[in-house]
Amino acid sequence: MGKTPVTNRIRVLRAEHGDISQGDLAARIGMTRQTVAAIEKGKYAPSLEAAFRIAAVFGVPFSDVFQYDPDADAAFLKLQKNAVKKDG
Amino acid sequence: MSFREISSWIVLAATVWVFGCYALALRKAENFGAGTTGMMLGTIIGFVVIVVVAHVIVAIFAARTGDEAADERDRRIYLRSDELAGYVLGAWSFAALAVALFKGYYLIANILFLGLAASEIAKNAYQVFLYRRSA
Repeated sequence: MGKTPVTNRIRVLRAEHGDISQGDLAARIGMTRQTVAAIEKGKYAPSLEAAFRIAAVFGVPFSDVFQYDPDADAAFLKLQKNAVKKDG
Repeated sequence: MSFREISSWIVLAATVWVFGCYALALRKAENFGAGTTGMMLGTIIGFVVIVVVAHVIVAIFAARTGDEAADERDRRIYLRSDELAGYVLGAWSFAALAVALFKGYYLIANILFLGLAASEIAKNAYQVFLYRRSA
C-alpha cells in the first residue's frame, strides 16, 4: 500500500498526550501497533470509524488529527481533469 | 513484525519448501502425471505439521504479538491477497481444463468446467447480496 493523500498529526498528538505509545493507542482503538505505525507514516488510510476513534482518544476534532491534500491525490486530480473535459 | 505477518512468512516458506519438494519429485520422475494419493496426502500432512509447529514456536517466543486480533488493515491485506490467489487458481484451473480436454478426461474436464461456473455463481450471488445490503 503506497502513500495516501491523507496526512496526520498522530505522532505529535501522542507526544502531547503524555507520550502515549503506538501500542497503547492501538489497544484503545482495536488495532495492531503495526497498523498505527502504518497510519502515522501515511502508508495506510484508516476507515472513517477508525479515524474518528483516534480523534476521540485524543479528545480533539477529526480535522486536528487528519488532513487531506487534494493536490497530492493523483486519482482525484485525474477525475477533476476528466470532469472539466466533459463540461467542455 | 505482527504475528499475522510472521504467520504469512511461515506459510509462504512452508509452501515453497514442501510443495517445491513435491514438484521436484515429479520432475525427478520425469512425468508430471507421476505421484500417488499417498504421496499427495503425505505432502499435505507434512505441510500442516510444519505450519502448526512453526506457529506454536512463534507463539511461545513472541507471546505478546500472538494476542493481536486481525484489524481492518489485516482484513484489507487478506482481501487483496485472496483476490490475487483467485486469479492464480482461475488460470491454473483453465490450464487443467485444457489438459483434461486435450487428453480426453471428460469427467475431470466437466468437474473443472462446472466448478468454474459454480465459483462465478457464488461470487456474483454474493455481490448482488452485498449490493442489496449496501455493504
